[in-house]
Amino acid sequence: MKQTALKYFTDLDLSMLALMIFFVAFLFLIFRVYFYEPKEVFDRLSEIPLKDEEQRHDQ
Amino acid sequence: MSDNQTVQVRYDNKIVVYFMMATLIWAGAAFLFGLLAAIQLAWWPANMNLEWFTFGRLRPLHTNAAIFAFAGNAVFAGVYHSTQRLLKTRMLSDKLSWIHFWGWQSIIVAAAVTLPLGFSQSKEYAELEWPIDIAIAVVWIIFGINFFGALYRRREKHIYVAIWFYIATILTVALLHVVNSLEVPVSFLQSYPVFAGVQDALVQWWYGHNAVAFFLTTPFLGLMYYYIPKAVNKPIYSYRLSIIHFWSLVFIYIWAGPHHLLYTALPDWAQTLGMVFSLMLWAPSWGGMINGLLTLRGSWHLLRTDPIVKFLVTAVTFYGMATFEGPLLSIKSVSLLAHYSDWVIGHVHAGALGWNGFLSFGMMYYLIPKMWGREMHSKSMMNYHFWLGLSGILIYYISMLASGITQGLMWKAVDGTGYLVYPDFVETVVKVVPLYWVRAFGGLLYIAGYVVAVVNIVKTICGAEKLVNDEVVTVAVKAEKPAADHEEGAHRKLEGMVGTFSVLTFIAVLIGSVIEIWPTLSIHKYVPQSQAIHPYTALEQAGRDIYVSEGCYTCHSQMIRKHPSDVLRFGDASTISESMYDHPFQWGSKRTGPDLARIGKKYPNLWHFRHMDDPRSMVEKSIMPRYSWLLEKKVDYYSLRKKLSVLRMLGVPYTDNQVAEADRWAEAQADQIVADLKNEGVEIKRDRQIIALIAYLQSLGQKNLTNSEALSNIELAPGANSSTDKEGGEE
Repeated sequence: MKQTALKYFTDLDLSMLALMIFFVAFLFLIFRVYFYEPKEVFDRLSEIPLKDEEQRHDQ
Repeated sequence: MSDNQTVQVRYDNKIVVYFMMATLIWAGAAFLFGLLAAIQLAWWPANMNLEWFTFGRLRPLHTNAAIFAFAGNAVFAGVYHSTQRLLKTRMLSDKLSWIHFWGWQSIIVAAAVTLPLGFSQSKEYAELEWPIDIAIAVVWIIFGINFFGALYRRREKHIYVAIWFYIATILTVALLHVVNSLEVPVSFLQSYPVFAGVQDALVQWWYGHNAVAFFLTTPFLGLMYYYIPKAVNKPIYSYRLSIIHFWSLVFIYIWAGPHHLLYTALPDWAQTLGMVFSLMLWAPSWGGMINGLLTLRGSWHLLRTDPIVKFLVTAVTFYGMATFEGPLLSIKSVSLLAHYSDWVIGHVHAGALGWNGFLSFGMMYYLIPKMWGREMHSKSMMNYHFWLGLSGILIYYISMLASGITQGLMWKAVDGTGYLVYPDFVETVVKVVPLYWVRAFGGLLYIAGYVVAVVNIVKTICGAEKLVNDEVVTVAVKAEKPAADHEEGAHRKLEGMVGTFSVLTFIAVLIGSVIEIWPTLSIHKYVPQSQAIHPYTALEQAGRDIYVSEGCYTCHSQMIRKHPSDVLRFGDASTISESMYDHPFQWGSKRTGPDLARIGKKYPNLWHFRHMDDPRSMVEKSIMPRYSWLLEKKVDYYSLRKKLSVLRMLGVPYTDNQVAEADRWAEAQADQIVADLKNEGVEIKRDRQIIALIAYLQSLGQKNLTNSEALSNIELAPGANSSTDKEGGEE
C-alpha cells in the first residue's frame, strides 16, 4: 500500500522533506500553545475586540 | 511598570461607509448577472443573440463581480473598521485609503466594460487583461502599505487573531496575483500568459483555489474573529485554538489547488499531493468553525432574538458545510463523479452566498447602526432578509447537487455490453434543464432578500440625523514593559513582532507553492519526442483567440480524463504534450456542453459553420447560444505576425518565415476552408471570424507529429516544413 502510494511521487526526498517540515512544525505549535504558554495571557488577549470602544465621543 | 496613559484616537468611519455602500451596489450587480446567467442556461433565447450578453461573457462578469466587487468591498469595509479599532490607530494615510477605494472601484468598472466586450484571458477568476492586472497589483500594494503602516504605528502592542488573517490575505493574494498574471502583451487589451498547458493549469488552479482560500476565506475568518465576539459581547471561545487554526490553515490551504485537476494530464504525484492536503484541511477548517460557533456558549438564545447573530452564525455554519464538502469533492473517486458537473457550482455558491454573503450582511447590519448612530429601521425586515436568503441558498444548493449527481451518473453510465447508456451528450443536458429553473428560482429568492436589505438600509440612513464621519475614542495605552518568556509565552511575543510574523506567514504559504509548482515548470523536458506536437497554424491561433475571447471554457472542457467513461465518450485520454503550446490552457472546469479536446475532424467544416450560426440546426435540443456575429466580424490577419512573434518568444517553435508571413499563411488556410464551404453551398469571405474558429476546432486533437493532415496545414507556410519539425522535435 505504502509503495503504491509512493510510486506516484517522482521525487521522494522532496515529498518526505515537505511532510517532515509540516509535521514537526505542527507538533511544535501544539506543544507551545497548549502546554507551555499561560492560559491567563490568552484569556486577556481574547478580550481585545471587546475593549476597543470603551470611551467613545462621537463627532 | 504598568503605567497606563490615555490617548484620543480619531477613527476614519467615512472610508468604511464608502466601502459598505460599494459592497451593496456591486452585490446587486453580481446577483443580477448571476440570475441572468442562470436563466440563460435554463432558456437559451435569454442570450438574446447579443455577443456581449452571451453566457460565455456574462459568467466571468458574474464571478468577478461576486468575488472582487461584492466580497472584496465587504472585506475592505470590515478590515478598515476592525483594524483601526484593534490597533487603536487610524490607518496610515487617508489619501492612501481613498486611492485604494477609487482605484478598486475603477478596476471593477474596467472589468465590467472589458469582459462583455470579449477582452478576457479565459483563466477562471483571472480573466482580466494585463493593464487591469497591473492596476490590481498597484492598488493592492497601496492597500498593503496603508495596512502595514497602521500596524507599524499601532497603540496596541499585541496583534489580535483577526489581524493575522488580514496579514495572510494581503501577502498571499499579492503573490498569487503576480505569479498567475505573468503575461506578455500582444496589444493594448490582449496578452498571452508565460505559462502553457499543464504548467499554466497548475499555476492557474494554485491561484484559483487560493483565491477562494485567501480572498474568500482568510479575510472573512478575520472578520468572524472580530464581529462574532462583538455581536455576542463575548471573547472568542478559544484563543489557543485560533492559533492552531491560523497556522494550519495558511500552511495547508496553499497545497490544495491540484484537486481541481484530478485524473487530468497533471502528473499523478501532484494530484495525490493536492488531494491529501485537501483532506487535511478538514481539521483546521472545522477547528475554526467550532471556535466561531462556540463563542455563543451561553448565548444561544440570541439566535432567536438577534438577526445579526442569525446572519453571522449561519455564515459560519455554511463555512463548516462548504469546508466539509470541499475535501470530500477532492477525493479522487468523488471527483470522478462530481468534477465538470453542477455539484461543484452548488458547492461554491453555498460558500459564496452562505459564508461570504451572510457574513457580509451580518457585518453590515452590525456596522450601519454604529456609523449612523441609530438602530436599523426594521428588525422584521432583517428577519425577512435572513429567511429569504437562507431559502434561496438551500434551493440553489439542493437543485445543483441533484443536477450534478444526475450529470455525473449519466456521463458514467455504461451498459452490460460496454457501451455508454447515454451516448448523446445533449441527453444529459436536457435532463437537468428543469433543475436550472429551480436554481434560478433560488437565486431570485436570494435577490429578493437583498432588495429587502437595501430598502431597510436606505430607510435607516434616511432616518439618521447625520453620518458619523470620524469617531473619537479615548483608549488606554499601556507603557511598554519587558516580559519574561515564561510569563507571556513565545507566540505572544511573536504576535507583537509584525515583521517576523509576516515573514513566517509568507514562508508558510511559499513552501507548498514552491514544492508543487517548481518541478512542474520543467515537465516539458520529459515529454518524449514521439509525443511532441505541431504548434497551431496562424489561422488556428486566430481561431483560438476567438475561442478564448468568447469564454467557451465556461461550458466546454478540453481535457479527457484518464477514465473509461471519459475515453468511451470523447476518445483517448488527453496527454501533457497536446496542450504544451496552449497559452493559455483551456482545460476548463465545467461541462455544460461536451469536451472538445478531440473534436477536430469529427464533423465537416459545414457542420461547425451551421452549428455556430444556429446550434439547434445541428443538435435539436442544444442550449448553446447562437454565435451568428462570427459570420460578420472580421479577423485581423495582419496582427497574427505580432501574435506568433510573442508566442515564439514564449517557446512555441515557429520559424522566422511563419512569423513574418503569418497573415499570408492564415489566408492560405482560410481559402481552403472557404472553398470547402463553397462546395457545400455556403458563400462566405475568408476574413470572417467563423473561418478561423472552424480551423481551430478542426485542429483539436489533430496536432500530433504523425498526423498527416496537420502536416499539410503546416506546409502552407513558406519554408515552414523542415524547420518546424526540427524545432518541434527539439522541444
